[in-house]
Amino acid sequence: MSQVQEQVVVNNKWVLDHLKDPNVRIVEVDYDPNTAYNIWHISGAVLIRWREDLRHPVIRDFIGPNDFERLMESKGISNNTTVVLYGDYNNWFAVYAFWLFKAYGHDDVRVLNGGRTKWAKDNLPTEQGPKEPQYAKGSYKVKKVDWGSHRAFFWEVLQKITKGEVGKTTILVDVRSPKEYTGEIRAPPEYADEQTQVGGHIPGAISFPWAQAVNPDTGEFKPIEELKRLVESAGISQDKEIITYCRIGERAAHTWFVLKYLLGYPAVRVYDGSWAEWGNIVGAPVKKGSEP
Amino acid sequence: MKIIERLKIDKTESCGSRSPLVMILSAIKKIRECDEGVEILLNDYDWLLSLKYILQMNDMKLRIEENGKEDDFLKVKILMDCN
Repeated sequence: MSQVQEQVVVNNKWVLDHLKDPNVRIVEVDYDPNTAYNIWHISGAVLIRWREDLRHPVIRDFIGPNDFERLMESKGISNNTTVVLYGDYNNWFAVYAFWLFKAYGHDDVRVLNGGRTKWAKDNLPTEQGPKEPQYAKGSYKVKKVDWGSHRAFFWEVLQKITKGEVGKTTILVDVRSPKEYTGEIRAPPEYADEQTQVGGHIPGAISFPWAQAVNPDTGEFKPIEELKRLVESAGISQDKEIITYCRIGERAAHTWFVLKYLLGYPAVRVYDGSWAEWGNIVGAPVKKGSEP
Repeated sequence: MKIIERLKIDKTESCGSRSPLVMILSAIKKIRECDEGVEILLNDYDWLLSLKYILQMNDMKLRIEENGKEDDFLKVKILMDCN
């Protein structure tokens, strides 16, 4: 990996070398801590719960800057702390959190390559149980909020379709499974609360399932040259604006990270409303089948 | 050995409200006899390690038999520990 990529991705050895580094905070980001952090976690890691800590308590959105500041301080994180994120479900929510950290202007945030999967495979030291280490309170101030270069809203995507920009100046990338893309399923059957009124994809969106970007055994990102080849052969070119989406945004953030931070694409955003929003909006255009 | 339930859980498609570990735990709770077991195909080392810790921490009288890989999935059996 290049120097730039090493600034956003670290490996297990790096984490082991920095477990006692006071300027580094290892953070596990879980969708479901009861089946992840609370069973085992990296020694010294603190926990951020995706739903309870990062999501807005009432509306479908994220916590605001003030609550983000309080959360960071409670985890012993200051503005100059190097934050390393990893978590459950293929690191999806860790990378989603990376997206939020960047939108709130945190300078040095990185992702542990392979996350829990690779750590477990390598049989590295863990702590069991839910007890979270306590660190001295951090000092944190959100200095800028940059949603503009990170987030695409429903109305923006709809406007790009109605103006005929999709495929010309903008590429929509659907990173869900092929069955979700074609409309055969709306969500896997076991996820009753993520089903939508209709199935299919946003017209013009290219199918690029997120998992193509990782080694299926370890969960680590594939080598850069291979990623580049895969992405380019899917027709995702960096001379256009890219918008990724999935069902609730976490897989879209994963592919966003690959495009923006590993491959250096200049203009990539996440449509975090994703299919859970699009597939429920009255009158929103939908395409079924395997063609964009 | 009677396999009372077979599960295949794919990490590339598991997300959201129903955890793969919860699905595994629901299945292995059905094991009642020494000759009963649950066969699981899974492709995440995290889940396997977590399952080992869960059995340990809860002192469950079950053991994990690892049987290599099948189609790139780890193949394990969860059996009653009757020894």
